[in-house]
Amino acid sequence: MVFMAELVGPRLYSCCNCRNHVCLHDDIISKAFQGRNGRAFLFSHAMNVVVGAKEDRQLMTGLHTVADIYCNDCREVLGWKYERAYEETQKYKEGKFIFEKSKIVKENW
Amino acid sequence: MSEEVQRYGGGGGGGGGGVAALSLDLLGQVLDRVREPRDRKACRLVSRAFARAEAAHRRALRVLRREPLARLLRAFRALERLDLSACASLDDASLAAALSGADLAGVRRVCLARASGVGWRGLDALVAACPRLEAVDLSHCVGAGDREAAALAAATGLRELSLEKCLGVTDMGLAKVVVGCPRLEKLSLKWCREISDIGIDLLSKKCHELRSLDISYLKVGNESLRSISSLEKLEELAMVCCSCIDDDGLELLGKGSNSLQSVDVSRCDHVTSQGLASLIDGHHFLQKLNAADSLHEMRQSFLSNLAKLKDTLTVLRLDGLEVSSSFLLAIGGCNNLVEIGLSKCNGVTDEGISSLVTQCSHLRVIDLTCCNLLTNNALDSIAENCKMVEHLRLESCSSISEKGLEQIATSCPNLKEIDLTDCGVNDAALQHLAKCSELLVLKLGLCSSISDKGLAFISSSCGKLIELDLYRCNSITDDGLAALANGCKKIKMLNLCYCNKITDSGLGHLGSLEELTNLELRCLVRITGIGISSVAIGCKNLIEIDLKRCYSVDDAGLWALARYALNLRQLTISYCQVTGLGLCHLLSSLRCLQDVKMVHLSWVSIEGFEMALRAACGRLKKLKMLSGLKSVLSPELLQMLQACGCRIRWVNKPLVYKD
Repeated sequence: MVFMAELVGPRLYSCCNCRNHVCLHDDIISKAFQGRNGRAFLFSHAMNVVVGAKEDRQLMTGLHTVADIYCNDCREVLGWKYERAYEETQKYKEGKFIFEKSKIVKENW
Repeated sequence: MSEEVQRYGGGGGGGGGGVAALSLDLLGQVLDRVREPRDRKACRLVSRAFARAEAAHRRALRVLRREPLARLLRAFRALERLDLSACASLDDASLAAALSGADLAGVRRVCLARASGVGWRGLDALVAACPRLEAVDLSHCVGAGDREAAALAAATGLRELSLEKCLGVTDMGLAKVVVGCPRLEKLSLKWCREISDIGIDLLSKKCHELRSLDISYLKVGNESLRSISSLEKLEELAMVCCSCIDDDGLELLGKGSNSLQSVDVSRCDHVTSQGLASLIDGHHFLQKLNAADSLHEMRQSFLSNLAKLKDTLTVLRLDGLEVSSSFLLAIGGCNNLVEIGLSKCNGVTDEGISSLVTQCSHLRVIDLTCCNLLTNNALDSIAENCKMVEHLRLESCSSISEKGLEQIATSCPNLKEIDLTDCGVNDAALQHLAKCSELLVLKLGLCSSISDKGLAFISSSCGKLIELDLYRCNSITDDGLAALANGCKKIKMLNLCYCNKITDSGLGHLGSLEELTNLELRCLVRITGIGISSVAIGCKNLIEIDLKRCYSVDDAGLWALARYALNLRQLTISYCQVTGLGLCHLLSSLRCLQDVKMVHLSWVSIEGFEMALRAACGRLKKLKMLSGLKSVLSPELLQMLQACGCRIRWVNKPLVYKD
């Protein structure tokens, strides 16, 4: 019966525009972030996204270097990646991804 | 109590006799009218006569533990509905043994959802013992396959069957069912991805009485829709995430002979508004249409055809669509709409909402999640026009405030559910919402301006509240919980995650909430075993508790759970200070515990995990543990767990968190 468990699969999120698979529910680190337009989640990993140009942005938690992430199929902006954080308490975000709640949909659950 | 009964016991004459003078049958009819399960329980305890009357008339039974199953089935002769979905560690042998010797001639509906230990042997016994079986729910028995389907096929009178997530069922098993149960009216094959067009074709040829069919997530294509279109009595069709279906298939349905009232094509990426237009063309009596997260653009053909449904359409979900104000105006032409879903739609403005609701005064469910352009003006329009609204979802509509909510609260007395997660509402808003005395569900996640004062307003008049979400409302203190415990005695689900001012004193107040079933307390760093004890002792119906990152909770705290929270089914203790001994005690005492999340239990040794998991092996269905453990736990233990139907999720989570 072992193979049955694998058939069920991990919980996925997709791009709201083209349903490309972009992140896993298990990779959520925090659900308490703010995106451009509302609630956003911090993920440890992302897939099928294109990382854009780096730029410095003053966010609610201070100065960060971020890069917007785009769905690699339809180029919809889904959030951003933290490239660098300048305060010690914010360093844990480096290399992690923000996906806006309004840009991702539950895929298979 | 028993002495009083004896005093009356002499029979009907003399001083009026009291309740004990009633015959068993009359008493049974009186007890039939007692609806609340806890009231029925109280009645059973009055006297032997009451207990006998209740037993003789009881129609529904939900069994929580395997051991008394046989005795219970024999005690209740009039059973019609049997729910074994929560019966911990039910397996074929115990089910078959319990069924033999019991009189189950009246049993019509049986629920075995998630009963992963039950296989074809148990189902054979069930079908043999219940000749009048009409409805079986086998959903989420992921190991169930064709052999189980064959067992159910012997129930010739079967009218309703759910095989949702029975992953092993193929066309062969389905064939057995449709041939054996020709009277099927309602069938769910959701997630049974082995099923193909061939299986659906046979289904359509054999089950002419089919009214409701769910083929969501299947890999079936347009040919299945061709077959399905011949089912004349079909009213309800769900095809969520059927990626092999496209506009051609919908056109086939549009030309078919069904009596479609409800269609769900949400998440179907190859469906467009053109296909929906041709579907509507053939079915002018559609009541419910769900096209959430599937459409990208809107053709005029769809809008013109939608107008044909203006008399019958009551439910329309178009979540994830790019809309305009003129589009919403056009939709408003369906004046009888009761439910509208516009969650995560781009372009929803105050103007659009206004033009929609002025035409749809019957709206009861309005979903505007993530429609962040909306302001209090939209709420004003809703308050003015939709006075019957019951469910209002406004998550992430951050521009609304207490002024708009005042209008809603004043004009909409029937409000049952409101979702204000991430809306930034304050205590003044809650003062207004307190007017909604019918409120059942209140979601205030991420509203950090909410304080005890706001909770006091709600507690003073929302006595029917069942669900309260205060996720990250970090201004809440113990006083707020005191108010809640006083005024909202019916609360079942409570989320206090990250409300880190709460201490054991606050949990002490929660101990008086007797209806509480689900409690989330993530990262409440001040609570200890003392608080947990109060909850465990007082909240006897507790099914789920989440204590992730409650760093001060140690073995003593979990001892209280092990001793008192005997109905607990789901537990999260990741990052708690439990040792191997505490964990072992916990897992061996809680006989209903099925789902445990225990990531980063740094004080538990490998031996500790081994002992604890072995103690609960037959009962556990879901486990979440740190992936590092996968290589150090004995393979024999892991195999045993899997053989008993337990699914293990291995995760990589950091040990140190920054909040």
